[in-house]
Amino acid sequence: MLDPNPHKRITVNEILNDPWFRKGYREIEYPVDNEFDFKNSGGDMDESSFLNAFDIISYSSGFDLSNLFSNNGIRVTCEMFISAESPERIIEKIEEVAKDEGMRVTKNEKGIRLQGSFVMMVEINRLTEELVVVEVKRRGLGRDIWKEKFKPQLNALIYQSERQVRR
Amino acid sequence: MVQCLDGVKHLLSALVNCCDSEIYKQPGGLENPEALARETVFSVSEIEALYELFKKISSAVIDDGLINKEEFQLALFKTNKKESLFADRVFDLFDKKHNGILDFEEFARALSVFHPNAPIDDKIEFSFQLYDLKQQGFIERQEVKQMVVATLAESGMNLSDDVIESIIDKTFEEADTKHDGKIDKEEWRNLVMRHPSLLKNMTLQYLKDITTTFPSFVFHSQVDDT
Repeated sequence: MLDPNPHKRITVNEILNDPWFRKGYREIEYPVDNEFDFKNSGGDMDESSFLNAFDIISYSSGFDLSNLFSNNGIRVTCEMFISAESPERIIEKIEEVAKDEGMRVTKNEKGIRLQGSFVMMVEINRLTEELVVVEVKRRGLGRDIWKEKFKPQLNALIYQSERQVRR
Repeated sequence: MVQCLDGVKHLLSALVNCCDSEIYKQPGGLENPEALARETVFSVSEIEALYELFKKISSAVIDDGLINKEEFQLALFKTNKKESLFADRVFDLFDKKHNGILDFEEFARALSVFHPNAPIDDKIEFSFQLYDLKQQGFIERQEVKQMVVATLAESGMNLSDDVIESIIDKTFEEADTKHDGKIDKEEWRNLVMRHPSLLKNMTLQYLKDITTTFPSFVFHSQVDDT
C-alpha cells in the first residue's frame, strides 16, 4: 500500500477483496438507498393485488418513523396523488420531463427512478379498476425540481373526485 | 513504564466517569444500558447510539431528558404545527406509563419492535394496537374509515365517499373471515401474512445502522471495546 509507484501499488479494489482487510469487515449500506430500489412485485393486476384500506393507511406520514432519523437535513420527502391514467402513461410523462432535465432513468412496469442532482423514485400501485396511487419519493438538497418542473406537467393526470367525502 | 501508563489511564477514566455521572443523573438518563439491551433487540452500543438520538429529540423544546408530544411531532414532521391522528396513536403506544411523556426506556422498548431483527409477532401486535383506535381489542369498520379518510386528507388525495366505501368493503371481505364486521387479532395476523407489505412501516432499516448514524455515542460509552 505504501509503494510510491502508482502502477505497482495495490488498488482499492484489491484491498477490498484482500482476506486481511475482509476479516471482521462489515459493509455499511446506507439504508436510505433501499427506499429508492424497485420493490419486487408479482406484476399481476388481479383484484387481490389492488391496494386495500390498510395499504392506504400505511402511506400516512404519521406512521412513517424513518424521519426520526434524518440527521443532517437530507430528508426523504414523500408525496402522493391519485390518477385515472394508466401507469404506462404516467411513467412515460415523467420520463419525458426527466430526459429534458438530463436525468438518468431506470424503470419497470410499476415505477421509475430518476437520478440527477437528486434522486427520485416513483411507484404506482393500482387502487381500483379505474384508479392508481402514485407515490413520489425524493431526496436531495437544493431546488425542488419535482415541484418546479415535474408537477406542472403532471397536473392534468391527477384525479379530481366530483363529490366530497361524508364523514 | 507500562504500569505507569496504566495508572494514568485509570486516573483519566475515573475523571471521565466522574463527569459522565452528572449527565446520567437526569431523569430517564442512561443508567443501565446493559439491562435495556438484554430486554430489547438492541446491542449495548446500539442502545447508547439510540440514546444520542433520544437526547437530540428530547432537548428540542424543553431540555429535560424527556420527549413530550410537541418534541415528538417536531422530530417526525420537522414542525410542531402538524396535528396527526397517527402520530398521536404512535405516541400513545410508546407511552406505556400513560403520563404524556416518553422517557428513554419507553423510547427504546418501543423502537425495538421496529428493528429489522425484531420478531414479526411483535410487529403484528404493535400494528394491530395502532389501528385499534378505540382500544377495544378489535378493529372496527368505522375506525378503518376514519384512518383512511385522515390519510387521504393528510396527503391531499381526493376520493369520493363511494370509492372509499367500496375499498373498505373489499378489505373487510378479505380480512373479516368470521363475518362479524370487525377485524380481531387473528384475522389481522392472517391478513398481514398474506400481504406482508402492510407491515412495511413496522421496520426501520435505520435502526440496524444506528451506531454509524450517531457515532458520538462512543464519547459517552460505558462499555468496554470488545
